[in-house]
Amino acid sequence: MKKIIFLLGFISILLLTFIDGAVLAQAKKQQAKTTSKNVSCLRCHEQIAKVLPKNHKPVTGDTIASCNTCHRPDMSTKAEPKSYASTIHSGHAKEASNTDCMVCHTYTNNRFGLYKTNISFGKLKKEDLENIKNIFISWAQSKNMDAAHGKANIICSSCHDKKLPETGDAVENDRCLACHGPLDALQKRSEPKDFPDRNPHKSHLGDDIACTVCHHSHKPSTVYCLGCHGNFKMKIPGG
Amino acid sequence: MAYVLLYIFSMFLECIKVRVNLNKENELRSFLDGVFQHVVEYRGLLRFEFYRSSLVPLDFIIHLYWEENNDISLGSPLSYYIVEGLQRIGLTNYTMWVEEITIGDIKNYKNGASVDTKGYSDLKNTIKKEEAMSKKDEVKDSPTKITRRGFLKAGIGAGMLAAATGLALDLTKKDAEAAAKTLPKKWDEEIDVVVIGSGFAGLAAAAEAGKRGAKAVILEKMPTYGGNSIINGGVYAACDSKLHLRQKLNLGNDSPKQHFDDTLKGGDYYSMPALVKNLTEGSADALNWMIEEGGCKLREALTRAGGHTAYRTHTVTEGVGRGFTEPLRKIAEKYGAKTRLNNEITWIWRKDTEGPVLGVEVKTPKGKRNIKIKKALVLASGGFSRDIKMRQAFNPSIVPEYNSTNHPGATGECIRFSQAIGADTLHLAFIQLYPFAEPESGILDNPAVYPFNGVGYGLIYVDKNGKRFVNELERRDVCSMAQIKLGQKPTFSIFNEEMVTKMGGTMEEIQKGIAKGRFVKADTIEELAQKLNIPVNNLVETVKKYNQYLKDGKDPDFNKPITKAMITLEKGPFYAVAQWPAVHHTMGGIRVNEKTQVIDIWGKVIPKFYAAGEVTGGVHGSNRLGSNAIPDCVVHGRIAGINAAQEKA
Repeated sequence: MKKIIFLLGFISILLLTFIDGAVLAQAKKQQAKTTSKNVSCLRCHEQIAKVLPKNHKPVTGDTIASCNTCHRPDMSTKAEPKSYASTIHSGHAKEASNTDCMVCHTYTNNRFGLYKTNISFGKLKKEDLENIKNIFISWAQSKNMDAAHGKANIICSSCHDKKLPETGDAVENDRCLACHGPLDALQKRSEPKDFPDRNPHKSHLGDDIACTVCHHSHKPSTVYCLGCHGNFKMKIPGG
Repeated sequence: MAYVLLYIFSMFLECIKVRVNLNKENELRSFLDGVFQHVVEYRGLLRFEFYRSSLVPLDFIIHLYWEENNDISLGSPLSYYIVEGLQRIGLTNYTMWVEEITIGDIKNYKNGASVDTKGYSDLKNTIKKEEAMSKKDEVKDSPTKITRRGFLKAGIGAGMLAAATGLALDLTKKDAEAAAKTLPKKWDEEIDVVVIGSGFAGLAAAAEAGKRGAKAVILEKMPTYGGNSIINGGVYAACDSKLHLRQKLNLGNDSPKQHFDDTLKGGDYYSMPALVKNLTEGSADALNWMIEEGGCKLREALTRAGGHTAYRTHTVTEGVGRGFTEPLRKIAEKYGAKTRLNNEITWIWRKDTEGPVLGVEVKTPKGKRNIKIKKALVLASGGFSRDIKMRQAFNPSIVPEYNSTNHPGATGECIRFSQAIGADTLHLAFIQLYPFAEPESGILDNPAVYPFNGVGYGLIYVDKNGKRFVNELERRDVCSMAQIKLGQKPTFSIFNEEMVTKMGGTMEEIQKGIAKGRFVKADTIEELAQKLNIPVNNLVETVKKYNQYLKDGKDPDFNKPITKAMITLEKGPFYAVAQWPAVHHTMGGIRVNEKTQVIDIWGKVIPKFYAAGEVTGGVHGSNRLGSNAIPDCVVHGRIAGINAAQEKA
């Protein structure tokens, strides 16, 4: 009996090895095809399998298009985590110097799109591309609040909706409260034990102060209270 | 003798006023000595003199007497040389600046009449000519620089436009606006009534303007609305209201006239009576307006505060200025007024000294914006208590070490912008300390209102030795100075539980204050003294003596007027709160008439320009009485709003 089990195990390992080899051979073929366009993941990753999450299915192909055969790019603008978009961006934005958006994305006629898809993320100015890249880098690894959101798979559109924010735009309170609310629950969570009155979310300046007065996403947050109450010990967790 | 007299009538006087820091005085003297040694035979210069001003010890006056027929169309190059020299040797900006240069007929000058302003433009033209010669390129593309450079040349830092009125203000020439900033070629937007500032005065103005059909927009530079008003102590002086609290609580008589007299006296008669009249006659109506239209709620209490001779100080239920700003905001929004936060004024546009205010330049989160004003501009930008340089410039005794009760946005830039287009100012040196701020941070928190509200009911102030040091019913300036002279920080207010609700307080506030460590509670005076770490015997003795004074109806120590409403400190529990003065209110500001129209330095109304609230001067004289601020702001804000809406578009 033991022998039979051993044999079955051996056969299955053999089978797996065979399949693996076939996949690799396929991938190498594709690599030859696509490297000229500079959109291959193999540019940086010798073995794609190494950078995939644990238990990820083997990947055919070496471009973002391969990912998109299974993963649908999440075009939702809801205030919610988007794990695929988040994971793929956070990994790449960490290597700040190597990050090149155009490996996966396309930029033709000012339209920002995705390689081998019809998806468009709208019109972008050229200078915005660099800004977005920098913000992604901050989002992936800074000590600011954007990085805290990055860790929770909250990507741009989760806060900014579908439109690229213009200079001076601020995220509305409702958007923040979609995840962090409702306000009264938030107030309860942030009530200091020693001085319940010094609740930053229940300010004497009113309940409708913009969250962005204190919480900045892409730069360090500031505690507005300290402008007058210099002796308060207040810190904003999560940057 | 006759020879000299003749000269007086055919002589031009040029006057330069400079202010120096104490340690720069000798440098100034030696510089001027040097100058005059060399120019003693200057063509047309009859005489010169410089002396220390008798009014302000740090001011120096330089007089140049010119022959009438002397060609000073060159802009009195000597004075120009002097002010430029002052800059060259480094006596500029806050060390020293030129306060004014006047050139005029000496007869008029001596009579105190307004001087011939011809000289201003001459001097300015000289500066401009030189400017154009030396920096041709710069002139075209950055108009601001011309002004700045002009000012700098005259020895004035860019931040001290205020002091530079003499040079900046002549806009009468055809090309005048080039001397300041170039008017925008096109406007980004047109608005009926632009209100600067979202405090009491701004909200009241926007509400009244909106009610009369004008589209009113409030521009607020801070990211939150309400400025100082929303953190104000929430006390409101009115001789009456629809609630008739004084009559209900049987607290004696009062009238607008009595309120008027107190306010004038409290400000040492520096106040403009017409403005005080607005305040005292309009305060009850304005309070009713906020109650009726805005849902404002008052506590069932009335207090007599320092400097007031009647129980007329109302406390809003919230116990903080928000209790008034919210109703005002509600009314303003009801009539369609919109508030834009993070919108900071960077300039006020006016073409010349005759014309109206045209618009404002605003720094918004989305960049610079020029807004054309169709009906009127209402300036309600508040005081400058948090502008340390400006504070010191007008009143060097308000040293940087003072805390301030104000929010960080209380800086004086809008006063400077107004001056730059000709607005007159007054009383800028009068800066009030709030005597009872939280000693560490200087904030005016809820417990800090108790020392102010409690005195009419018998609350006392004691120093660290447990002794009284002032008549508690005195004005704020007196109470502040009495503390500062003690030289021992802090002092304490002592009161008992019976006084709490009468003075408009609540036990809930007391409990919260105790939790924060602000109020100290004790069942006996002995225990209280121990907790406050002050000599027990002294405090016991002080309280005992004081109780007797109340019974006798006489305070031989400090002559406090004893009233029947005052309660002895016999029955516990007792409370104490620490206090210390902090910069609180700037009485001075823009000169306005009784219609709140801004007046220029020649005494004329600047068309379409209104101002109300702390940014104006002349309402409170040398010292504002506590609880007079909100009625001032609301009453004058309303007047400004009503008049603004009636301007022709």
